[in-house]
Amino acid sequence: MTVIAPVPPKAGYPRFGEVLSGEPVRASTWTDAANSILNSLGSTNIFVPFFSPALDIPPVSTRTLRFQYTPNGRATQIRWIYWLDDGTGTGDLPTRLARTVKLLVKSSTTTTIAFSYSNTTTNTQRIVAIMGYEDTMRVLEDIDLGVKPATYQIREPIAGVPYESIGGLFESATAKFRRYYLNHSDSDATDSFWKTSTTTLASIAIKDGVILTRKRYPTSVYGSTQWRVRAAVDNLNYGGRVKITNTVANIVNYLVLPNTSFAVIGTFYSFDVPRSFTWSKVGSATATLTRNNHGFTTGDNIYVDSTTSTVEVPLGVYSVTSTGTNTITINTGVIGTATGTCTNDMQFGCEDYTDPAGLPGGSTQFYTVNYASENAAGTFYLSNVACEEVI
Amino acid sequence: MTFGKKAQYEGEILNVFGAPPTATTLVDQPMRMSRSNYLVNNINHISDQRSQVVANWSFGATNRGLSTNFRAAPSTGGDPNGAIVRLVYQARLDPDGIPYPIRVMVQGYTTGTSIIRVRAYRSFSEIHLTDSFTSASATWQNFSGVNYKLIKFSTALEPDGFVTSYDTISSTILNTVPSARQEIVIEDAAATGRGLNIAPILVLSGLYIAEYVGDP
Repeated sequence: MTVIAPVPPKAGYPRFGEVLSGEPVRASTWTDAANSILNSLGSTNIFVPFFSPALDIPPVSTRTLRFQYTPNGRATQIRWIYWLDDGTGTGDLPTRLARTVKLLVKSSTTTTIAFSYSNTTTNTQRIVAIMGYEDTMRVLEDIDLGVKPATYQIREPIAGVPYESIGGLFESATAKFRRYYLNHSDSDATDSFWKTSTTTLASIAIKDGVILTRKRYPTSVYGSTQWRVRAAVDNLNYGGRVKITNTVANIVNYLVLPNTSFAVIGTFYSFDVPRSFTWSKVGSATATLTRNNHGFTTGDNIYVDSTTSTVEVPLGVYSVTSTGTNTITINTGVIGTATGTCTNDMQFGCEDYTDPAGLPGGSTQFYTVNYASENAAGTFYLSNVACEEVI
Repeated sequence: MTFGKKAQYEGEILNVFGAPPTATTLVDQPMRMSRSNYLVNNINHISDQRSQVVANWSFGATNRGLSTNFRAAPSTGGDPNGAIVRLVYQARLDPDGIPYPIRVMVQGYTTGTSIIRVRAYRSFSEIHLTDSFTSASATWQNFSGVNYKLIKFSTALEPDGFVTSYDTISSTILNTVPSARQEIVIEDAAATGRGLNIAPILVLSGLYIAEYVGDP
């Protein structure tokens, strides 16, 4: 179906009330809606916010940065913006360059993407900084879940062509849109790791980083976060651990990786920081939370953000008593006998629209990432720390 | 920006007020105006929620993660030294075409007294965010007493090249896509307070920039 309609003079945006009951929908209104999607929904998930890896690349060699994120399944291409110091010693500011890569697989599952740079010169070059975002594709394929601005169907009021029509726009708009809070990476090469051989938790090259989560619902106070790392070891007898801390709320979570987590020396594996526990109560207010290798120590604070029974295990912050490698206890304040599951989170505050700057409680939310080796005889490596919204 | 009667949840676009989950079921069927009204405003609302983190970088305590490349050359003059770093991102827009405000935090250190300035390039003349600081260690800097600052935009962005080439509905192919690119410039500004003989060096060590969907 083709409908002749006035060509809008410029890209516009539909306003509340623009579509009136009893009146036909102007094609330009739908076009405006399409433009709104394209400019606010359909483009540019920034899955690698700007950061500085300060990654040196020796002459005639290649280095690869790997990032983890969960795409929303739309057709997209990746736009890398990176800042390069060419090593010529001129003292100039790093050069800003760009590279676009089309993703061949439209995926909505967590994936790892790579950015490689080959230094063909005789100078040591440096990736000073990098950021990556989705870029709207100029031409979509029929199987693409997205918006196709290169066809006239987009301007029809309602069309039955999937993925290319206004109906396709709505389908596109139902994709899950996350906010990607951070995505830091170091090279997989042996001279570039975040690495440690000490068993005491130490900071990686992130300190007082900022997390401000998205306010999804009117009643939201916090936003859930999923943290991920890529890790490796040089000794298959020993693993390592990672500790994430919300330094404002004093809430922690751990990723403990025993040696069995690694099969090959020097090979990086992707891990999600776990968020789930099972719990049980037997005639008391004390709930025993169970997760293999939970990592918590007595005195840590845990934030329970969801549970199968808010009566038996109310949501909130608890001080933890570690009772074993796989178990901790918390005082729920409610005597009972029950079992269930719960999740823990980092309690990062979300935007507060009542605050002039939108900050929860008027203050900035900070995080730190620490890591340690399981044994001094083994070196524990990280090459990626990522955090994205849970939806 | 107002939220009005917009649906509060993303799920409503399908589960309560929205279109059937597959576009093909619409085919050529008419749509009630009330439903289309909800749909359009759902889009607006989802768009309102769609802010992104542009930069999230904070130097740590180890010897990695800090580059001295993002620095201003020593200067004793009264003019800005120029850009330390320029970021480009595709801005999300309010329904009136104005980019979302951005929240900016800048971390740095200096060997003396330096002034750091933030501009949004597309609205270059209207944005000046400055802070004078003397910190010798990498810390978040304060702008007017707080370490964050909202930059509000007042100029609408026209998506570049969106309607450049079509003149009839049925035959023309658009070869361009909308691009509401926004550029943020972190720069160093010289000041009269600088010593004439001891020129300070300013190094950028962290940056946080995020779009803000609220209406401060």
